[in-house]
Amino acid sequence: MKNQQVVTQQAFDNLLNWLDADRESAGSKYEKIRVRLIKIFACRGCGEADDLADETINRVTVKLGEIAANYSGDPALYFYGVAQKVHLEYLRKKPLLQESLEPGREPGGHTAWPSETADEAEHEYACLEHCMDRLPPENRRLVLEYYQEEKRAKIDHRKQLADQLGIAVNALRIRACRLRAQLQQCVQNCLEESPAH
Amino acid sequence: MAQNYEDQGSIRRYLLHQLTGEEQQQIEQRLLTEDDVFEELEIAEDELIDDYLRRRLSEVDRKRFEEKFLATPGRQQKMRFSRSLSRYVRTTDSLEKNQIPSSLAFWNTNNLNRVAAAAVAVAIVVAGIFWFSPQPTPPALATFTLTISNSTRGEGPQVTKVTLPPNVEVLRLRLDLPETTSQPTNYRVELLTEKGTTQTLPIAGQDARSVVVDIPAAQLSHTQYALNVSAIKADGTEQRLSGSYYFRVE
Repeated sequence: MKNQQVVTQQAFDNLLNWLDADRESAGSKYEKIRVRLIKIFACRGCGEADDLADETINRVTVKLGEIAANYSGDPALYFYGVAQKVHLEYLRKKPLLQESLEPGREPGGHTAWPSETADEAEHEYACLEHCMDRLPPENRRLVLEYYQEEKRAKIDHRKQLADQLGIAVNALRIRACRLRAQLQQCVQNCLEESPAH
Repeated sequence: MAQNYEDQGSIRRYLLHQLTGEEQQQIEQRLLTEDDVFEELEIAEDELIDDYLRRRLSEVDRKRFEEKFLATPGRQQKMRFSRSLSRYVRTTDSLEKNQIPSSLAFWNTNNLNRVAAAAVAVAIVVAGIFWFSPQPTPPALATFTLTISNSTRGEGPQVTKVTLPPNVEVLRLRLDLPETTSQPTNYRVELLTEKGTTQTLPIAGQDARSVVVDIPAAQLSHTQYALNVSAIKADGTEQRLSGSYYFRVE
């Protein structure tokens, strides 16, 4: 969805100021809203979630002069209202977009995922091994323990693991998820630094 | 932590497009404003991908997952990573179970009594080994996981490189079954060499997702091998799985 309006530096500064008087907090809030809008569009099955989030932010930025004085409440929810409209427009334009922007999409709306070759899979695996080796031993052990068990034993195993670490099961889920995100980022960096041939 | 099981369920249903319009809006607004809910979404995504890879989703959810959830490149990337992670954990777990005990479980401070008991048990076993006839030790294993490679794919077969350290006596291969495989009673695995010889391998284990075979390391040379798997149905008929598992000993 390439319908982005031109946003001036002044308009962007006004947006940040609306989010928070403190510039650093404003930047953090801006980034948080953007990441979450991308997530919402992705959850709705939109292939161009980043573009749609940026379009939403641009529209809010451009309209800010009209709304800031009278709007009360969490600004994030105003973004949400605009995101709803952007999404509706996207759905209306989707059949055209599919042809121009999504050459990998097959007729009937089923996505043809880019297939990963054996070499690429092995390269990614090698990167993962490298990243696992770089984890502190206790974190590496946690990843292995957390993800090892399957089927019915999984829940019991994680409860046992949480008890061993002296934390609640939900805290363990969060810790494992953060480690996993950290690992994925490390693998991504590794793939970018040494692409497969 | 504001999360509860109800929220976890709602978020999972949200990811699978199972909420009403109103429920969806509520969740999305909370996603934008509550850090906990956003974090829960990230966790739920990981868990959903794992469930998909382990074939724990119903047919309906599976379709929704493939058509809706995997729509973005970011999530496809996440799934590729999850596949690698799953493979790494399986492989490492098998290797470490054959080499060292779990340090987390072993060195838990709550388990000091068990540690002491284990130490006594180890001492008895060691004494037994010295005083009685020598016990056979389990063979040293090297474990690899192979995925099926269909010869109709344009990029050629996926060949896993297998390196066997000198002390390894048995190569254990875990063969990931294709996702469409129904659940037969048994499997037959045939080892094919480049020279055209074949050999049926004994099955060392199997579950819903994989079949495990052991091959004595001494039997292998530095060359490429293929494994063909046939599903044996309850009526005794066999159906070969489409594709083969390839590995090269280096």
